[in-house]
Amino acid sequence: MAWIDETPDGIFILGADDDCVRWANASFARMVGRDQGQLDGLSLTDLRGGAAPPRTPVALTRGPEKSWVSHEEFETDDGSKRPFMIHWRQAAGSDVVIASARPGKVALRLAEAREKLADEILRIGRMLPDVLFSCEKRKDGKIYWTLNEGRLAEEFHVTTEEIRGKPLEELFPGGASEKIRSEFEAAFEGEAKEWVNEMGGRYFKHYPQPVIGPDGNVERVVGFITEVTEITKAAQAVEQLADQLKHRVEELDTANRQLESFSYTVSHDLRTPLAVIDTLSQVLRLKYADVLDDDGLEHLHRLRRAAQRMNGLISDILVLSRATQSELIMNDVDLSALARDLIAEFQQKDPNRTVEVVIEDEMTVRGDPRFLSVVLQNLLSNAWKYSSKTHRPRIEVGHRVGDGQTVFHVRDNGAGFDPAHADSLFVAFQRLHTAEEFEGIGIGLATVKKIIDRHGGRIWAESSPGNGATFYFTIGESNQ
Amino acid sequence: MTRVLVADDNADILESTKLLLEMMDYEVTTVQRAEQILPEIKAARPDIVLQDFHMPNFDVKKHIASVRADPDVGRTPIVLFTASVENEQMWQAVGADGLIFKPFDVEKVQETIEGYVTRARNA
Repeated sequence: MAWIDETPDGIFILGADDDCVRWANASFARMVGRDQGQLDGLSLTDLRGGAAPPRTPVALTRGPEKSWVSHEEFETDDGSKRPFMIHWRQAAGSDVVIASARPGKVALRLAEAREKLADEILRIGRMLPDVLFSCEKRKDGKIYWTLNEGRLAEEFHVTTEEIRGKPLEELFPGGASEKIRSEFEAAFEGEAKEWVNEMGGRYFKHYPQPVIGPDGNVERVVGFITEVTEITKAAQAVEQLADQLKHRVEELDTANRQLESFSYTVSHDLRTPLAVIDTLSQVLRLKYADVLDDDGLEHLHRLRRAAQRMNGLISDILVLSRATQSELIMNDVDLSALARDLIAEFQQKDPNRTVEVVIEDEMTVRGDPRFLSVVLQNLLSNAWKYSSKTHRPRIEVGHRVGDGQTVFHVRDNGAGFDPAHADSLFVAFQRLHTAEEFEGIGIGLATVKKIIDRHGGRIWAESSPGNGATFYFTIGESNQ
Repeated sequence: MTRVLVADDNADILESTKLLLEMMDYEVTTVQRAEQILPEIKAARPDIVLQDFHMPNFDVKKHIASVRADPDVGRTPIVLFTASVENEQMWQAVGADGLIFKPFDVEKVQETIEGYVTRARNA
């Protein structure tokens, strides 16, 4: 029996009636750390170290030929346990069982680890609000679940136990939809594409992952399913809102354009009868001056003045309308030169006024000169107008640089305004002074703001009554 | 006496402007339709034409070019007037000699007419 002693496998023979060792080879003795002779007569329970319960019951009775595998832990002579994988074989009607033992360390630990991991995954899976699944395609061509765990699975009563043996078609009330079927089929074709299905107003996102078998085909599909109802509904709401908003913006745009072209047309058309009134009032004054008395001439004078004021208002509205509609043609604009020209113009129209004017040199910006001249025209004419009742009026145009941005200012020491009304300054037709105090209809600053807005700048004002006003503005996001 | 041709599609404008200009001792002829302008220039031989910038169905640029191309009346000054706030340089783009704004101011109109007529005569 020398060869059987030296074969690497540990071999021993057990009596089928008493579980006791009849014979063991030298390899097995070495494996369990005992002398070969010492083993004879030891029972299986002795080998297991006494108290250890059998992992696999060994039915040692006579019967037909059988063989089986079990994992055992045998006690060595130092009292430690050693794992083995045992192949048992009992010939038909034999009263002994032949066992072949291999150190089972790797096999056992691996099996245990697998079992433990599977158990842990299952435990975690059941805790998740989602579904963890694994399914396979069987010979009948249908898809069956081998794993389906998680709170969603519990909620819908489709846990592994509940759906065992049921193909895909039977899992959904009324059968699986074409979409569900085709998505799963696609996964079995090797596609790992996420997809969402809707069920009773709820949305479920599927993340399938095909598992390729050794033959290169998809062996099964694993993955998870998570509920995305809230996020889907939120996204739908956002999309709907965006659509509505877009629609509203379009409507507003159209309305704005219509309003602008309307105000342009109206203003233009208003001018024609006004021109007739104005022209005829001049005709009356020149041709019929000698048939009118002083009162008549005075009325005529007022008539013409009113017509001219109306003409001025229409001009303002036209400028506002144009400031809104026209395309900007950008250029380098010398604000200092513009301001000087405007002040010279005011002085020419109003030669009796003495105003101290300080304009910083070389203030240049990038913008549309036609419109920036409207900005300065309005700000400076306001400064000119509102300082008309001030002793020693002074107007100052300058700039400061801070935070990478150039802030221009137009300052006067005139009537000023109540800072509580600073916001309504830039709203069309809002006036802070009566027309008797200072002429105007309150459209100039609305135009200014429109132009500054279109240049990507900001405008604001600071003042207190009696202490003058300062208007600040920027042109463009920032100037280096 | 200086002869002025006024063209405008609005009858009231035409009539009142005629009155005003006549008071300033100008000889005034008027036309209300754009296509009458060139024939009238040829017939009346005005010293200056005052015409509306925006007349219905009328390409002002083409019109001015056709006046300019005429060997007899091609040098007649043409001043446009407008009720809009046109870009003041727009008159140059269409080939006119100048632009004045409605409503007219007596003094300004007189100044304008005299200026262009004198210049044209001296040219």
